[in-house]
Amino acid sequence: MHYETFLFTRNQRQDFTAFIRPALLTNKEVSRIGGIFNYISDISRLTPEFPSLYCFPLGEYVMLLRHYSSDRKHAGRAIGVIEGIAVRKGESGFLDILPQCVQQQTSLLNVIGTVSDIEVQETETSADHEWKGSSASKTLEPFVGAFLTRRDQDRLFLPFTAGGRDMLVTTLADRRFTLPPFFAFGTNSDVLTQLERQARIDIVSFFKTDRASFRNRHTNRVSGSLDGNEDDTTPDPSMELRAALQDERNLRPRAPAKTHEGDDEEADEETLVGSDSISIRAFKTPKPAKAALDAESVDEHDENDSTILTMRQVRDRIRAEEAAAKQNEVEDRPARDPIHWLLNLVSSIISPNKPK
Amino acid sequence: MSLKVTLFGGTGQGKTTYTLGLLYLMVEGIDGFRIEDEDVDTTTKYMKPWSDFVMVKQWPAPTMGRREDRFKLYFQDQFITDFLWVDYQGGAINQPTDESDAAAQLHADIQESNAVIIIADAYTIATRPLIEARMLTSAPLIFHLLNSYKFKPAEEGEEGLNNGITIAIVLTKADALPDEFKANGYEKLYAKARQVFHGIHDFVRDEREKVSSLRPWLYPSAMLAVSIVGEGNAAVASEGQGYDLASFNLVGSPEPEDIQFPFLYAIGNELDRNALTLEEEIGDLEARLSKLDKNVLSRILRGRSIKQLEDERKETAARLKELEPKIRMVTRTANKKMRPLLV
Repeated sequence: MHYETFLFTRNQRQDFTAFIRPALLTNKEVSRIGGIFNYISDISRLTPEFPSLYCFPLGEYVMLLRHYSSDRKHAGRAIGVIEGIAVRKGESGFLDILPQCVQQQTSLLNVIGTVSDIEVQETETSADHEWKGSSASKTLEPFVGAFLTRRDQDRLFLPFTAGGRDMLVTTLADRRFTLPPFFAFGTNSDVLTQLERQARIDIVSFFKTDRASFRNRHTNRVSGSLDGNEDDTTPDPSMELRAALQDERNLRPRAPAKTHEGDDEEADEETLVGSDSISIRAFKTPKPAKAALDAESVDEHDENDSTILTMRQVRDRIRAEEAAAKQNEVEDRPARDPIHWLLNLVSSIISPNKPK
Repeated sequence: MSLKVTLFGGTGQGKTTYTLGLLYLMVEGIDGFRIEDEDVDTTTKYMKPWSDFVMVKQWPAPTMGRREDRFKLYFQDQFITDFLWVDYQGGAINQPTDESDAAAQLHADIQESNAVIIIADAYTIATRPLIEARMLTSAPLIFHLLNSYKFKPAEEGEEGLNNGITIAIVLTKADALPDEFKANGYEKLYAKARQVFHGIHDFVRDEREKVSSLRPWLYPSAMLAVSIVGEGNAAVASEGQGYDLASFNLVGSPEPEDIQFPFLYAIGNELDRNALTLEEEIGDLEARLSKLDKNVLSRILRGRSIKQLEDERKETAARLKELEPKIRMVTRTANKKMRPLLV
């Protein structure tokens, strides 16, 4: 099996850049990746040892990548790394190596490790690599079988933990898959929405998912647990920013409590305003007790307080200056006219009031 | 009427933090102004990193690529205008269009924009040698883009009356400035910013001196020193050197200062441009009518009666009248605070 590598990150000189890119990946597709991962606002918890992991199609390729925070910083902000392997669509053997790549991601997806110094790295096209490793042994787990029977309606959700990653590896190694399932392990609902524009994502782990379950693709509600209990959701916080999010919610008017059995608290928080619970109008402050906006309420004199004039004010001022200049020119003209000048001279000579 | 406002600037200048802070302020409303997103999820997406910034004291992750969101601006609950907000990663300026899709999009966005908000790090401007400040703020490239897509086509007669652009320069991180740059209302900062952005400054100056054939009022330009974190809430963690910009630790809770004014300046001026166009339309029509003899007039009217023409003029005048108070509200608030690029 053949594959190419990619490395998207930034250094001190260059913003988000495709330092190493697959040969057929277009600029638009590089931008697409940037656009997708813009929706991850906090990468501090993602490390090379425990990164987010994704597999999805893009252009001519299927991308298997990891996303984490490097130790490097720019202007005080953590620099993220997006790197991995790209396999051309239709390349046989990818399904066989996928579990191994996830399991051994620290070495197999470590593209930045091939770069001597990212600060002097120039952009380059990836070489074509041939897979020389072995394939993972196949598995046959009942929960994967259960997932496959409900795959059209549900996604498999896994906890964003080491155990969850083991489950991901087990799932990917299942012998019943005929094509690689696409996944987003360690993500949020915004990124999932973006990825769904590329392809159907089967396996998902949100940052705060702490229990494996099946969730409805459309509502994101838990539709079943892996141990068979259909209503086995825990709202316990698992994300380190949960406290902050709750504080943020406290600033807003509380939405009416949901009473549906089986509603997924976790999903609701991931899609806070995307749900019907809180509208943008909830942010509204009381109307200031100023006069309503109308022509009469505007104090004409206030315009003169401005340091800066509007376009029309500048225009009017310039035109007024031009008009005044023209007027002066007209008034001055007799004095400059040679005939008038001569008449004035004669007049001044014969005038009885000429200066002594 | 929908306006397009593009926000861009060099890398690490504070674009993302400015956008987050601005949205935070404007969503709840300030000075009677408030914005609403077209897609209700937009605010949530921006508010999450802002919340992390406030609660965890963590600077937002750098923008990758381009973001575009639609909003509506209200004053005291009355609709003012729609606008499209486009936000870029800093690197988009530094890359050729054939190497980067984001760069290609930025070029197109500037061409189509009514107003641009340029973000520049005041601390870099103040503390670095002039030539380094120019490089780090990407000032030459910013001028190059504006010149290529807005100034030059207008000078060459390819653009009409409406195709000027409002330029608002936001000088971020003003709270961290050395005292000498804060004195007398940031006088020294503004002076150096004019040097850093001398390309834009000189264009506006030449225009005013009537060297240019352009109408000098079509390119309103102003700047303002702002702080997203507020005075005393950030401390310098490391001074910058070379490409490495100075970094700051957030030591107190952010209290944005003055960040809404450049935005309102951009919107206000573009509303004023609309009014200007309407005024010119009315004036132009009246001037042409008064010069024409009856036969020519009837050919131009093509079956429309003088009354119909007069009705059109009245309709335009009514639109202008409706627009006036909105313009005044926005420009009155913003223009008092902004500082002219040209003195």
